[in-house]
Amino acid sequence: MGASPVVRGEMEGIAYVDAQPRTRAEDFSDAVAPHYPGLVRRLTLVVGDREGAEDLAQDAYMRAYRAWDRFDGRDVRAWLHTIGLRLAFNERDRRRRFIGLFGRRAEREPWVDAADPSLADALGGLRREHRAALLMNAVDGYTQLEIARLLGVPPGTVASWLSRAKAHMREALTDD
Amino acid sequence: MTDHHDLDRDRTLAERLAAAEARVPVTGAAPDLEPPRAPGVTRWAMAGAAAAGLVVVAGAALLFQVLPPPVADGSPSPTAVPSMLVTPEATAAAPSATPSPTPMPTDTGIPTLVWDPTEPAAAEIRDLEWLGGRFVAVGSQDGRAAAWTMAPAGPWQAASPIDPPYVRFDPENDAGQEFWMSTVVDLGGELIGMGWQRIGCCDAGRAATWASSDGETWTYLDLQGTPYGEAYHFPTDAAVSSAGEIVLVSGVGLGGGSTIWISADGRNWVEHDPNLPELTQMQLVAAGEGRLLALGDGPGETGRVAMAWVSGDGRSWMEVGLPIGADHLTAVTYDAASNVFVVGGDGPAGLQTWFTADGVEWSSGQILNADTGTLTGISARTGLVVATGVVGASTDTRVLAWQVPVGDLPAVRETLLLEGLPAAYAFRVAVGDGVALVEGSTLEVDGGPPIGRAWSGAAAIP
Repeated sequence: MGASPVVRGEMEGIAYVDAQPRTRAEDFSDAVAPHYPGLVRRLTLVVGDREGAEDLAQDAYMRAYRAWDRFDGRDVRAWLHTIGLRLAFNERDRRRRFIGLFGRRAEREPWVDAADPSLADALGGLRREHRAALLMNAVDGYTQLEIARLLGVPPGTVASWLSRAKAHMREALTDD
Repeated sequence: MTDHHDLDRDRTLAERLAAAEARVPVTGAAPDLEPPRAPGVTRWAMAGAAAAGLVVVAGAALLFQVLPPPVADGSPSPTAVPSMLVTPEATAAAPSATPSPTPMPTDTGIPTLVWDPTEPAAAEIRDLEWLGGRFVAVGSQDGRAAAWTMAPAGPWQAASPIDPPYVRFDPENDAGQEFWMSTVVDLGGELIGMGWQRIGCCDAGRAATWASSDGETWTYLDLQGTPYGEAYHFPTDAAVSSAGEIVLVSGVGLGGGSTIWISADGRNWVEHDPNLPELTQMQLVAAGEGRLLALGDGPGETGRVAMAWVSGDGRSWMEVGLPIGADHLTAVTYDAASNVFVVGGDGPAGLQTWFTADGVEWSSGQILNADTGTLTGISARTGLVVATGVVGASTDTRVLAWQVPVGDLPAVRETLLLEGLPAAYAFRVAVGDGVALVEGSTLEVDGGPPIGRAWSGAAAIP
């Protein structure tokens, strides 16, 4: 027989150790829940209606949860916005196919910002991709390269979107 | 060119957008979650599992095929070939079904060459280089990495499929994989393409690498299990140092910083932290004799401001001062004949070039254009620079190219007018033997993807 495996020493204190490890769902909720209102607001401006934005945000959260193992752990807000915006772009395309196949369905009530209606009108003249890039650049401060990474498009495409979006907004808001 | 009035207007617009966003009321909450999936599933296993789901999707797709095609609100299907034949602008310049291998001269004397409509029409070109006596373009097409080669005045040749066995990307079901090739270099006669791969809608993405001896057949290099293959990073630009190593600038994370990877063979990589300040990004790199010059940007009082760094071997970097009059530095190349780096960007005077041998002493080149715009690409060969840019407002965007002698300030620039569609956008330029090739895209047609185009010009290139 060898030596006893018991290690002798002095106990210096007692710490409470939670025997119940945190669940994956708890980790996810703690990380992402604070960003839900921000995602709904961003999607509202991008898709132009609040009800649609909430549907997309819910979908984005479900997909994010399923993909939680693949999140790199750096910027959860950017990750959630990326998923939500990609869904917004795809949803518009799906809706077009639906309309093409089954006819036009009832339009949702567009989002109107009573405090700044001319801004909402100007945004309405942009494509969703242009609106998203403009908001990410002007409000979040992301660079063209960062937006390209987030949305999975070439940096030159983002440059094109931003150039056109800013020029359109300047022209549309000239009288303000 | 960006003046202070533009900056004020941009700042005001940003404030209005932020205020409008903050006013959106949110009453709901994040959804309840499903039971967690079993842990320990690898990403390749996930991709494989996704294949089963795609069987169902394929069935649905078959159903779609037997139904009438979408009509109606004038918007194309996202999977449709760009509708070059349905808009007046596109019709005017649409190529014939059979691509012409011979550039067609225009009134300006600059020949044009349009993409083969059956090949890269739905492609995204992310890098264009003159390597080994031919043009090499890399990017993605239909969710897969793709590459093309073109001899001067010849047609584009698409490379063989170059991805590993994979599950086709399905954005609606969070399944499948996407591949991109972002940049390509010639490493001692072997082409090394660097890009990234992503699974489903929600993966942050990892690096992917390909190799080719001829540009036509590419091999996917499986680097899983290595730090390079497992780290979340996004290769953006690369150069081969005079020591024969690839120096790769790579973004880190979603919206994160930058890092440097170095490899002597494209297969074994070592990471080197450039120790950049917070929120600073290195984006472009060029290699000269015994030195490298990198460009990027960082936060400043008036938004993102240009930054530049020099290095002897790519392992350690030193920030250097900017050339006078530079607000943004957006393109860099190296001309071996003149032994100088050529940098393009914009400042208060407009779109401009600058020259430096060491990154410390700079000289100013020609003002290429005084309008608002962006310099998008630059290439130099045997003492001649060709630059591309976009100028004008949204309703009157002009794609322009210029050629100027390296460092020869008094010389008059020559504007190479590219015959493109209205609101076209030029992304990159490469100079080969007697030919300058510009790659860009036309206006997105009613929500569809950009239509890739390339222009080649038989400019007076030595």
